Amino acid sequence: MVTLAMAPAPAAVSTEQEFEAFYRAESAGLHRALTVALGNADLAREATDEGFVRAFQHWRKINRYDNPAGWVYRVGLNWARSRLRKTKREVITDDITDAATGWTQDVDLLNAVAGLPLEFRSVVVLRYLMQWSTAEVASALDVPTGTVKSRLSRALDQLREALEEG
Amino acid sequence: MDELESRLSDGLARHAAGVPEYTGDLRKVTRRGRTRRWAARGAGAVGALAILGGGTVIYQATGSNDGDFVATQTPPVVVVPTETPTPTPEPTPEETIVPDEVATPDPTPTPAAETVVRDVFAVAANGWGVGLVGTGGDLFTTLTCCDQEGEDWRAQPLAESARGSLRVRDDLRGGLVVSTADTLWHQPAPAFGTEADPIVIDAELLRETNTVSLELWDVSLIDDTVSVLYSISVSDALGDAGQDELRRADIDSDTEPVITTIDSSSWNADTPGFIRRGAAWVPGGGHMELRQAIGGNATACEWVEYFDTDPAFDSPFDPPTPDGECPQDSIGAAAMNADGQLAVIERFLAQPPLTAELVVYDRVGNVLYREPLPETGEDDPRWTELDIVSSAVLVSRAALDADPASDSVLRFDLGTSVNPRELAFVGNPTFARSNLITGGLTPVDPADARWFGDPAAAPQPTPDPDDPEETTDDPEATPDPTQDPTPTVPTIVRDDYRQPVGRGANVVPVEAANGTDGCFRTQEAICLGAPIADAIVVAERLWGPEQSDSPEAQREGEPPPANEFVFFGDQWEVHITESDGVVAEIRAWPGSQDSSPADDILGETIEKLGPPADVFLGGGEGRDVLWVFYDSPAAYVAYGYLEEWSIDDPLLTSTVADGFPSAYDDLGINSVWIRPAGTG
Repeated sequence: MVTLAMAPAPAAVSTEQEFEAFYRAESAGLHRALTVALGNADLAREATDEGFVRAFQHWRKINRYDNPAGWVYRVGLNWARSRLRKTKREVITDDITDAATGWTQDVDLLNAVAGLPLEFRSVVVLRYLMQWSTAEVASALDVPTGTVKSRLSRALDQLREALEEG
Repeated sequence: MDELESRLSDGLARHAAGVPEYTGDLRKVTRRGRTRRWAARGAGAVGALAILGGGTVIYQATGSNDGDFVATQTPPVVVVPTETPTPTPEPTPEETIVPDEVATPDPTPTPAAETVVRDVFAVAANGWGVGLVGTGGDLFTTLTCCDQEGEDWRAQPLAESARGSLRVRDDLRGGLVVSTADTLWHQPAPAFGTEADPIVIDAELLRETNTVSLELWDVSLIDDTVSVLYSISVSDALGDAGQDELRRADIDSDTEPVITTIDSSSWNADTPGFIRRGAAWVPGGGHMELRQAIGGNATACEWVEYFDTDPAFDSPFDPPTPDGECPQDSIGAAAMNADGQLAVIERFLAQPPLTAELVVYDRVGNVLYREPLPETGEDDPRWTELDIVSSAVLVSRAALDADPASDSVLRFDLGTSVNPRELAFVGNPTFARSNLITGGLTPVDPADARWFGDPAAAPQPTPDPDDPEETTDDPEATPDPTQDPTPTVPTIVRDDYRQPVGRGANVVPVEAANGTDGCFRTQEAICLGAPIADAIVVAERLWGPEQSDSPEAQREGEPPPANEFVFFGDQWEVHITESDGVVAEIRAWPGSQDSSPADDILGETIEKLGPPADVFLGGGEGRDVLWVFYDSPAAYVAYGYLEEWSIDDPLLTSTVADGFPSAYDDLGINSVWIRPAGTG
């Protein structure tokens, strides 16, 4: 009888612990960010999970990225968009306070943010909620830094306008 | 930062702080690797459960309207047996009895192998898990176990006959006892994972051609003798069930197994009798049985009896009277721990709504603990009395049997779509709550835990890593692995979800008559919402077997070349290698196909249009679509479906302005586009 797969797995333990540490460090924040961006905590939860599952599947590659959390965010966001498209919900949501009733203290601001296109909203969330640098946001969204700056600038303009109108 | 930016930072932070803290989730995983929240859909039941080292819980969800789901934990912590087989020191029995402190992980990286855990059968008191692993595309090739930290994997190749219908008891101090439908064998602990052949326990079974089933009930290690409790059912000459026989096998390492018939009772559906629904060794000697009356007037009665045991034991239950009356309400299931405490689920059958209680008795019948289970009734077809039975089976198998040396009770309440599911560990410090990840389930607060054993040994509340107050504010901070209280546990990945699991080969997933799902049918005709009897976990393999052939796998541990672009789809992996600005190689691996047209299609597309900015492979069954994106000029080409791919007939060719075209929806694509490589 042949003996198979006899070895202990210290390396795998280390790798998986590394992933778990990453998960534990980042999941809550990413969930919050996606919740604000998507306006739906449940959808954000799934999106976060999807992102982490895929990160896990390719962890050896992902963990070498500058901003793995950004990658997870992007994958989660894309997953959510894809899912919503499939369900024919073209508009993700215009009211990100729907799922946040009772949480928010600055309704005007949140409504203004909710009125932003998703691309802008996502940049705002990553920059001002996650406090990521412009470069980190660019990495996360896989767009040039200049695009991030442009979107931020336009987002802030729209926010100012919306808040003034409000 | 101007006023608006400050307001954004502050407002969004305060807003996000109100997002409900996420404490875990059950996930269901389809064959295609997709995951969805299971609890949120309220579908089905938990089909199998295993507790791995550190208290991590992994489930098989048997129920869903679209089937084929597996629930596992989040994060999907995975430890796959790795590396080329290397002999490891055999742990002495003393070393394996008591779980040690969490081992400090060895940071030394080693390549991963393709061995994948297919099923987990059980977890022993010492934290060892028992399961099946397979390599490549093979299923059920090896029985394996690992210690609490997911290390020290040892494997035992299985005989051909052992595949597919295994039942394992895991008193690993005495080795493993494994049964199939007609074979019972034992592998002593020191020999597990070696070249030693397992011992066939009851060779007579092989010669009893009328044997129709074998039930392995319990294993006990007493003074270095492994005592196995099992029953066989044999048929008469016409093939009808005719005799049920309870046997014990005493296995001394130096002698042949000694087989003793404990009880032989004739029964059939026409005369009053019983079905032995469970049997287990009890402290003090003898055994207990959970019996169910059949025939005559005695219907739907279950009771617990002790046999040849310590006279101090006093069953609180009586069997049906000769005229078929039930002295008490029925017992759904029963289990006993090392102190003789008896956990049962008592059912009250006179109505709907059906009600039940989890009750724990001491050895003389005093009630130690009583808790009602959620009511069920006509309006909730998901819960039947048989579901309650199944939940009690979990108590018997997953809890007490899994940890016979402790005072633990695992309570598992099957919920409904409207009632919360609850999973509670009571009393066992090994299964600390801190790492218990549940979703749709509410772990019991340690403060509320009932402790039936020595109060001094009761578990103390442990810091919740998900508690925001106890979580570092620094998102970049990485926990010190040496301080991580969470042992990493084996990965459970599932491949063949259709493989019968549960109580032997007769368990098959079935659709319940009422349209609900998640039921299993056993030879006892029990529709089990949660056939936890064997604490089997079936999880799904998240990646296709072709993974091992991919250059990524071959190059495990090495960063991809700078000129290689790797695109991951849902089930796909595409590598494009450039050399001097020219695409030199395109390789694509579909997760479930032997060959892929993606190579040629992609190759021809690139030949026409040049290297793409992104490749997106995805889609559902029969809907695989290849998208090739270009940034300059912004355009895309889409090919689909899989069987219809043609370089001359793309589905779509258009200019991409911003985002996806509306036609995306029309394709019904359900996928995720990922572009990780070369862009991070």
